[in-house]
Parts: sequence; structure tokens; C-alpha cells
Amino acid sequence: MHLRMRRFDKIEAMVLPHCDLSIRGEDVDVRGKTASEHMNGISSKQCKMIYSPATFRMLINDVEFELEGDKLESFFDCEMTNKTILLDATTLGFVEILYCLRFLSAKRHNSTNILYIEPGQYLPHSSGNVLDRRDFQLSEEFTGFSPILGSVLMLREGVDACGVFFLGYEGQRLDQVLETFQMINTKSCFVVFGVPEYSPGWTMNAFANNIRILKERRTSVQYCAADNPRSVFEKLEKIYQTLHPPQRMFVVPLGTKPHGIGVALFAALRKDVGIIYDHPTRHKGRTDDIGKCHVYQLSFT
Amino acid sequence: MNNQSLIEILSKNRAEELGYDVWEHFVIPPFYDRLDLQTAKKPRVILGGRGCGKTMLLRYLSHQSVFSQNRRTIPRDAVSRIGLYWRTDTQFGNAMTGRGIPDDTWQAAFNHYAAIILGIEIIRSLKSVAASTFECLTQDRLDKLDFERMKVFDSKLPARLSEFHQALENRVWEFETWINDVRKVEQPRLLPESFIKALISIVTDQIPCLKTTVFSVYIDEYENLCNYQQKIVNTWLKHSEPPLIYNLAMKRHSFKTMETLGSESLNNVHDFRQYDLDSFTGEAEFEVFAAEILFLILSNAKRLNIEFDIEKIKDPASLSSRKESSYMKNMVQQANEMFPGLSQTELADYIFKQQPLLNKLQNNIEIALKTRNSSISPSVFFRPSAKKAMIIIPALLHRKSLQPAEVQRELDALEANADNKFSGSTNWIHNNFFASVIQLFTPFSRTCPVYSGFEAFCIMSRGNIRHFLELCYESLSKTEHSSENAVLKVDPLEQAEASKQASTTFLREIRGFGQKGPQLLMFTYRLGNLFALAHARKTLSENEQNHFAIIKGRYQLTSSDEDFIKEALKWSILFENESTKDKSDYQVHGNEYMLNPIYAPYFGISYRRKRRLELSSDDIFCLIKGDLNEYTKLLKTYSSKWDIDLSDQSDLPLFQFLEKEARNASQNETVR
Repeated sequence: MHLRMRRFDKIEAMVLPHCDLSIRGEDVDVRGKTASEHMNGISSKQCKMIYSPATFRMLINDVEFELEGDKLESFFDCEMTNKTILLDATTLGFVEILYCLRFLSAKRHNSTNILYIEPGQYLPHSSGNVLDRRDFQLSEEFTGFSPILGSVLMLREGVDACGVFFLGYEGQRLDQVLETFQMINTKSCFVVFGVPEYSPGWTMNAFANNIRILKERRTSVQYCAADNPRSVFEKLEKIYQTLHPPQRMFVVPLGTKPHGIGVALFAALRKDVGIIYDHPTRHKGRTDDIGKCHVYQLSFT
Repeated sequence: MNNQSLIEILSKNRAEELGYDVWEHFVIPPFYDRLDLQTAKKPRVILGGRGCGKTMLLRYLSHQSVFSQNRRTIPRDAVSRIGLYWRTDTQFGNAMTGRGIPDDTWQAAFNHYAAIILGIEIIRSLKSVAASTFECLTQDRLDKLDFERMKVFDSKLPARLSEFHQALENRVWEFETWINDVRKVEQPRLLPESFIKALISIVTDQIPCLKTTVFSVYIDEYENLCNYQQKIVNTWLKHSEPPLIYNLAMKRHSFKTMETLGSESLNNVHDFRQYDLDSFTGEAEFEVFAAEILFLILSNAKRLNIEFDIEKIKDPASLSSRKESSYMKNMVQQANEMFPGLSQTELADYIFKQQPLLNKLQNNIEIALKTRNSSISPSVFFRPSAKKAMIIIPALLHRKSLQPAEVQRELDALEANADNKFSGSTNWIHNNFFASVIQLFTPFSRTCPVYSGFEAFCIMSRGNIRHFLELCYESLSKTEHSSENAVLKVDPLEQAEASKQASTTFLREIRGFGQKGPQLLMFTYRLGNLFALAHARKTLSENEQNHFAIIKGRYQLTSSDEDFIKEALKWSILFENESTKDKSDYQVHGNEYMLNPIYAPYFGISYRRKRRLELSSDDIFCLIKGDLNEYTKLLKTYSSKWDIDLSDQSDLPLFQFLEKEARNASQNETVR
């Protein structure tokens, strides 16, 4: 796998080659709209992909596909094989990115670009009641811990598993994972923060919102640049190499989208690794303005 | 041990952080003898909110704790019941639904899941017994066990213990691989639930000391199972009998179905007995229990400087002696010394020493007299010799039923030690002091000291040990206890700050309470703010309102609203009580709902259950589903009804968002 990363301070400076197919998700904020508009001009064909964790189905351009059915595989095969692909990670969810990358890696695809636009700023709660200034309304609701098929690990009492948690602003998500999966032994786990952050001071929000649990659990803290999926991939690979069989590994992507891309890449290639995910519904207008733009160029050859 | 280590130990207030062997950390709860878990022949269903100690109790009953390596002597009858703790993996369980696979295959798969996991757990329990000081079973004896007969279920299963154990572990991997890709991977041979019974029978037949052993399975977090899985578990429950009894632990309102796979539904009393842990602990019992848990933690950390009998709190036979009044009094007294609160007199003295508070009090008296168009000089009511009375005077002066002159007369009588309404049978001080103090502190950033003191901690925790320990943890974090021998004592003002901090922490957690978390958080904010508004009433005539009853309005509450309230009850955001008043014709339910008192310090409201607020079904709709405009309108309606000036933001810091909203709205209008 080869990953090349390019960063642009302004969207006008971003150079993206024309592609055969662009895949995007639901845009819920300014940067999502910007990404969608940008992609329209440079792709021969566009499709919108939304995963439903309740039904294990993928909605592609308003057509529902069973995740495990042959039709989805045929669709991917027909639309992606030997084509140049652009994935918009700004709007696509983690699961959609993972399934695309799984297919592309299996086919040893060699011309995928992933676009990601950072937010200009996160917006505080619109309800007025703010617990503190680090309280942001990013998610509308959480579907719950629906499994990501192909990355399901059975966690159980007394069996050690190594977990890697990528953390973001929403501290309650980590709390909920640990509450639901009480068999997780946090002594064998790592938490990863996005450092350096997108913008000075932003990591403090993530630290502050998760600090309570980190203090309780004394879990080992690691860092990967917030915008760097390669560093995430390498970190996971390094941890994976230290496992003592039959110890297993699972990853919990609750951090930045580039971290999610790194996790998806790793999970696409390491099929024995589990993923725990809570499938948040993103809040409309969760961020404002746009920040830096990233293009991650991927090749699985 | 330094202060940091002490804080670290206290911060571990969840059972899962203590591991599976909780022998060293468990305090026999005061209701333990009422649970009859060790002797019951029928299943038990244990209900309780988050943090009430369900998991800790189940882990205590499980083999890892009963046959703990830390236990010096284990009684011979310990093997009469061997506890197996099982918490299903929610995500894994959710993978066994839909996906184009027939329902009966998933049912068989769930039975298989139970068979291999509980099979492994039975083997582990035998190993626990053999590794403990219990003499009747040794590892050598275990190694001689013959599992040949289990080949009936699967001919590939080995006959010797270690290989048999390994074979079950391998089946976990095999099963997991199939679950990940049910279409392409070959389905493994699925074991039935009867596999567990057969395994028990083989073990008990071959080991004489286990001949009459009952294996009790404790299924934790039953609510996380999906509908068909609950039906399967319900069926196991219905047919439970020695030597295999299934028991459940769950939050309230967690039965998605009472159906079984057969024609008969599960029946409370007939098929199982239900215990609600929250209803077991009375206020006095909880105070003692909380103190004992705190002392045990401090003792384990070697930071307890008082006499404390650890054996007593670990011995079920000592329960009655722990209920003796001298013991209870002593425990509470010691805890009070660690976390002292302020008496009414001390609170009043404190207020009079704080110039900004005193100024505010005097200002409130002036405003009240002005509002009443009274010609009496405010200085008449400045009575440093009657501090407690003076603190409640603004509320009394605002009451139209009282003339300022009458208040003055009663105050004179109080000072003269004559009959008066400030004390005696009318007792204005008793009825208004608490609410007046809270109101006086509202505009200030410092937290009101009413949220301090061990007893206040217990009331705010309301049976929740995790909340109690968090209050202690936050308090001790604020105080430097540098040396090991230093007496642990936290200043009440620091405790109050700690309470606010803990309250904020727990409020923030709501967003993660299941799928409706964000909506529950919004509801809690809104309800809390409404109570905070009720506390701002100048007359304090209906003071300390922190629970509500639902009365009929135009809107008819739907089943989805009812479900939402159940969800709030399930997560202990609300507590349900039978109405203290007769149910009136216009009341929708016979019940009242109290906001969890742990949120009281954040909203600056009372944590004591005193008075209720009657909310119409329309109000409830607005709190649950209304948009910000509707909610703002609701607050404005109540503020006008209660004669509260919402524009005075300096007095109502929680409502600053209303002003901000109004500003935004006017800006929007300007733009248009």
C-alpha cells in the first residue's frame, strides 16, 4: 500500500485530477457543500453513498444494496475496477470509507484519491445551554453499537484484547464504549489524540473532554497528527506487531476523519482486527467555514 | 501514599475497573439478606440504575470472588452455589440479526454463543475452586475429569479438561469467523443450550463435593440483548431449575418482551422474583453503606485513621450488628467529620462575613420594600443578631399575604424571645431558609455551601455509589493531604465546588445515554432550567420545586412521549414516585417524577424532595420535543406567571442564552 499526502491552505490552490467516479456522502455543513461542489466539476460520474447500520444496507444513489449481497460487489466491480476514484471523506462516513477501501484493496486498485476539507471552526451548542466552552454539538444521535461486518470481534470476560481508541471532542462516546463493553481491560489499551491539531488549541478540547476517563483508567496516551492517516496506519501496525497471541486487537475510531481514514485503511488490510463504532448521526451545521484541504493519494499495488 | 494515589484510588468508582475478583473491595450491602441469592431455587431479576452496584454485586457472587485467591478461608458450603457472570458483547449480539439469514438460524446461533461462553465459564469456575484455599477440589482431581460423553454434541470434542477447554476456545474463533461473513464461511456446528446442562451434569457426577452444586448464571446488562435474544433468555429463565439457574440484571424498564419461545410468557413471581436495588436502601441505611464503602477504600489505600472493622462489613452474618443504632451513628459521624457540612447557623454566619453576599441580601430587602411600596426603612430589617431570619426576609416581604409591618413585628418578637412566626409552629425560617440561601447565591460564581456535607452527598447520590464516590473524589482532589497521617477533612466550600464539578460531569454523560442521549440531555437542561426558574421566584412561596406531576393539557401525550419518559427513568435522569397528593382528575399519571438530585448543584436547585411543580402535557411536549422558540416561550410564560424578570441576567446566569437568542433574532430582523 502506498499513500501520498498533499495539503493545500486554500481550496483554490487544490489540484485534483479528473476522475471516473466520485463518491460522497451527505453534506451537513459548509465544507461538505464545498467539497461536493468541487467534486462535481472534476468527475465523470458521481454517486452518493450512505450506510444504514440498522439494516446493514448501503444506499447508493437512492438504491439499496445488501452489504453482503452479490449486487453490491457487482456494483463496486462495475463502477470501480480499473477506474480512477475520488472519495470525499469530508462527507462520507467512516463505514462507507471502510467498505470502499476494503473493495479497492482486495482489487489492488492503484488510483484512488481521498479528499478531506478541514472545518474552519466548530460550532457550540445552539440550544444555548453550554456546559462549558469546549462543549460542541457534533452529533444528533447515536445509532448504537451496530457491528461493522467483516470487523466483528467477540469481546468477553477475562480474555485480554488490545484496544486503540482514537479520541475527539465528544468525551461521552468513549464513556459509552467503556460502559457498554465493560469486558475491555483498559490497561491493555491505548488512546490516541490528534497532535499536532488542525488549529492551535483544538487538541485541548479533546483532552479536556476525555480527561476524566483517562485519569480513571490511566491508559497509555499516544499521538498522531490530526490530519495524517499514514501516521495512524503506522501506529496501528506497530501496536499490532506487539500483540502476544492469542491476544486480539480492536480499534475505536472516535477522532478526526483523517484518523478514521487511517483506521479504515488498517482494518481493510488486517482482517482479524475488530472495530467498535457507535454510528453517530452528524448534526446539521456542526461546523462553519472551511480550513485546509487534503488529498490522500492511495495505491494498493 | 500521597494525595495523588489517594485520589487515583477513589476515582476507580466502577466495578469494571476493579476486575472480576472484587472480594477485597466488596461491602455486603444492607439489603443483602433480603436478596436470598445464595439459596434461591428460582431466578432473580435485579433492577437498578447506572452506578447502583448491580455489576459489583454480580461479580461478588461469581466464582472469581467467592473463590478469590485473597480469601484466607472459604466455608465448605461455598460450593453449594457457583456463580457464572456473563455480559454479552452488544455489538457481537447485534451481528446475529437480519442479514438475510433465517430467524431460526440466528436463534440457534445465540444458543451456541451461550453454550460455548458459559461452557468455558464453567471450566474456569472449576479452576477457580481448585486454585483457592477450598480443600475439597484439587487441580489433580480436575485433570482426571472425563468429558467423553460430551462427544454426543460434537464428536470432535476432546475428553480431557485442558483440551476440552481449548476446544471450546477454538469454537469461539470459528464462530466469530462465521459471524463476520455468514454468506461465504461455512456455518459451524451449532451447540444447543442443553450443552451447558450436560456439562454441569458430567462435572457434578464425577466430583463428589459438587454433587449438589447449583450453577447460577448472572446475565448482566440484559437490556442490551435484542428482542429475539431476550425471548430466548426468557425461555431459559422460565425453565430454570437446579443445577442451572439463570438470573438477570438490568436497568429499569428494560424488558423489551416478556415472551418466551413457547406459548407462555414470563411471569413475575411465578417464574422469577424481581428486586429493585434502588428501592431497598433507605436514606439512613445508604448513609452507613456509603460511609463503609468509603472507609474500605481508604483502608485499602492505608489512609484511614479511624477504627474500622473490615471483617464485619464483609461478613453477611454481621449485617444485623451493622444495623445497630450505635454502629450506624458512629459510621455517619466519622464520615461527617471527613466531609462536614454547614449548619443553618454556620451558613448564616458565613453569609454575613461575605460582603458581596451581605450587600446582595440588603439590596434584596430594599427592592422588596420598594416593590411593596412600603415606607419602612430597609435598615429596620438589618438584624445581625437574627441572621437566619434576615436571610429569609426578602422572600417574606415579597409575599402579598404578608404586610411588611407584620414581618417587622414578628422579627421584633423573635429578637425579644417572644412567640413569633419565624420560629415556633409557623417556623418561617425552617420552611424558607434553604431556598433563600440557594437564591442568594444564584448570581454569584461561587457555589452555594448547601451542596456540601456527607449527608448532602448521600441525598444527592440517591443510592448511587458511583455518584457518591465521585463527590468524595472531587472533594478530596481539591484539598492537599500531603502526609499519610494527615486527617482527611475537606472544607465545606471546597466540597460545594466539588459537587458542582461532579454534577457537571454527570450531566455531560447524559449525551452518551443510549440512542436518545442527546435528546435526554436537552430534556434535562430544559427541565433543570425550569426548576431553576421556579427557585428564582421572589416570594419563595412554593420553594424547592424539583419534581413534577403531569396534568392534562390540550396535547395528548403519545406512546413515544411515554417511551421517552421511560428512557429517562431507565437512565435514572428521573426518579418515579407515587404521588404525595391525591391524584386529581386533571392529573395524567398517579406518579411524580423527580430530577436526579445529582444535577441539582449544576442548576442551583434544591436536592431535597419538597414540593412538586404541575406541568401540563403541553409543557412536557415542549420539554421533550419543542424547538428553542417554543421552549423560550414556555420559560417566558412561567417567568411571567411567577413574576420573575428574565431580563435581569446578572441574577439568572443560567438564562443568559435567552438574551443571546433575543439579540440574534433582532439582528436577523435587521438583516432582512
